[in-house]
Amino acid sequence: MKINLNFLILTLVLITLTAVSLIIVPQIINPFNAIESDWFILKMYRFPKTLTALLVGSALSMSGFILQQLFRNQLAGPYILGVSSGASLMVAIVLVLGINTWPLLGHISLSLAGILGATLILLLISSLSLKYGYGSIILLFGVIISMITGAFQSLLVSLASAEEIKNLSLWSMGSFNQVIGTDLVLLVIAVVIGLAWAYFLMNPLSVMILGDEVANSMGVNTRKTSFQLLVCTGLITGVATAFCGPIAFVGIAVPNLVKILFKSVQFKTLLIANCLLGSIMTILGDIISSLDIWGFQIPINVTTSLIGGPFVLYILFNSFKK
Amino acid sequence: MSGFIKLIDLVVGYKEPIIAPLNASVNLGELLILSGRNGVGKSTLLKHLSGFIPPIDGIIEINNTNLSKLSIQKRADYIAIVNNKRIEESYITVEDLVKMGRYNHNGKIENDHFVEEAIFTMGIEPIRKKTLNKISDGEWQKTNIARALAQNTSVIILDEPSAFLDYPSKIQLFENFKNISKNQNKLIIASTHDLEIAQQFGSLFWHVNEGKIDQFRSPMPELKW
Repeated sequence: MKINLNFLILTLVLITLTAVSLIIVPQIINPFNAIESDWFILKMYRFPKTLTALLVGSALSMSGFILQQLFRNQLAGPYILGVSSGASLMVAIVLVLGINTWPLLGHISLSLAGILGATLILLLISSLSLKYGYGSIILLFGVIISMITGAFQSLLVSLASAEEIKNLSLWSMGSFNQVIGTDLVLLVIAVVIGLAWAYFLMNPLSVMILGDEVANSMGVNTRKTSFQLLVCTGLITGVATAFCGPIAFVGIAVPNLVKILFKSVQFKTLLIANCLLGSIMTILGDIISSLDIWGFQIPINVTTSLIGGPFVLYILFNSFKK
Repeated sequence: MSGFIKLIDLVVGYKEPIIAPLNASVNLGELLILSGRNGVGKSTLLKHLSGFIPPIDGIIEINNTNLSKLSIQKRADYIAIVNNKRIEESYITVEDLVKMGRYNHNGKIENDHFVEEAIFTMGIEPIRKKTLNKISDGEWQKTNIARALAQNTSVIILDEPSAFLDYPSKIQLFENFKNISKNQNKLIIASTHDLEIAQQFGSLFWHVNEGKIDQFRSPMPELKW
């Protein structure tokens, strides 16, 4: 009963924020009294931006949730584990080599690079965790991997032309504004596939909290499930990062908040709740970024960090209290 | 040689053999007590028997089928395990955890009846709504065993199930095992250091010492440690 109420409230909040993002921020467009240029802004700018925020918020929160369960670490997430940076590096390579402007391959090359980068890092982290366990050491591995991929990315920047540098640095600050047309369709497809795939893996994942040995004895193919979940996470994180840049704190903060709001053992419920709350966080972040009062667009990473960062600190303090 | 579980020249160990090749046969309805000092290979042997880690050499047969040839799902129909790993999630109740034992049979109607029976057998009815971070180690152990009972397998393998229990609970636990193995015709295999208690209830004893296993029927002779 309480769970249904939570769902209802989250859905209403999401709908409200979506409406705000579409018709109020940064300037009010009255849909009943809209002129042609208003419709143009709605269709070409605000709708893709809002949909992108919704999809990326869902994607990052889902992967954060999956990674936190898989690595049994509530501070895990696509950003801190270096998954976003892995995707970033591959995307940067594609941008600097100009592969994204090639005919045919161009459109899809960014997504493929992102997926490849994200999945490779995930498989690396997962093989490290088999050897060194699931504790804080895994987060340290992630941070160090981020630094190494970051170094390569800096190297690329120093090799790139002025135009490429501008593209790269704009992209790496994170933005929901650039995803339109075919790219948006690709993002929709990837996130929907990722969500459906993850949904069917939630039951075995929920049993895996008992540890691989027990889960195995209960009929869960733990290796197969983990591998599928890693690839699924790589898919959605990779595509989201490829189009919007690395977005901080969403993937780590949202699953923890969901855990507090939904005290449920049903991972399918938790997965959907992560999508809802993740969308809320990114759309809210985007609304704050786009507010007229700033006089300019604040990069989305700044707002998600300012919203999510303090909350993650709170989680960290709490985990030490225990 | 008859028996529900048969071990044929089984070589125990991860990489290096730690126990001499083992031949044995165990029937349903038995309570098999596994004893021996820490580090002699009890846990490893149990991991072979549950199919989690393949033995170095030799064959484990269960119901006349090679255990290593069984699918994970089929294995879960035969064998349930209980280890000592405690989880303390604040969003899972005792009842939720026992229900997880029905994972391999998801969506079947008789699920409730197995869950209720397991809760009753382990006497955890009073704490069924408590969350896992609010129960004692002993209550956790009972909950964990109930979860394995709910799986409704012929064989249950437990690695030191009495380790965190107080004295009366230890007695009650092994008495429970004896009753379950007899009344429900299950094979229960448990490793333990509580031999004085276990030997009152066990029907078969394997003692690991100096790289070999001595097999006894009760009552137990003096053991070499």
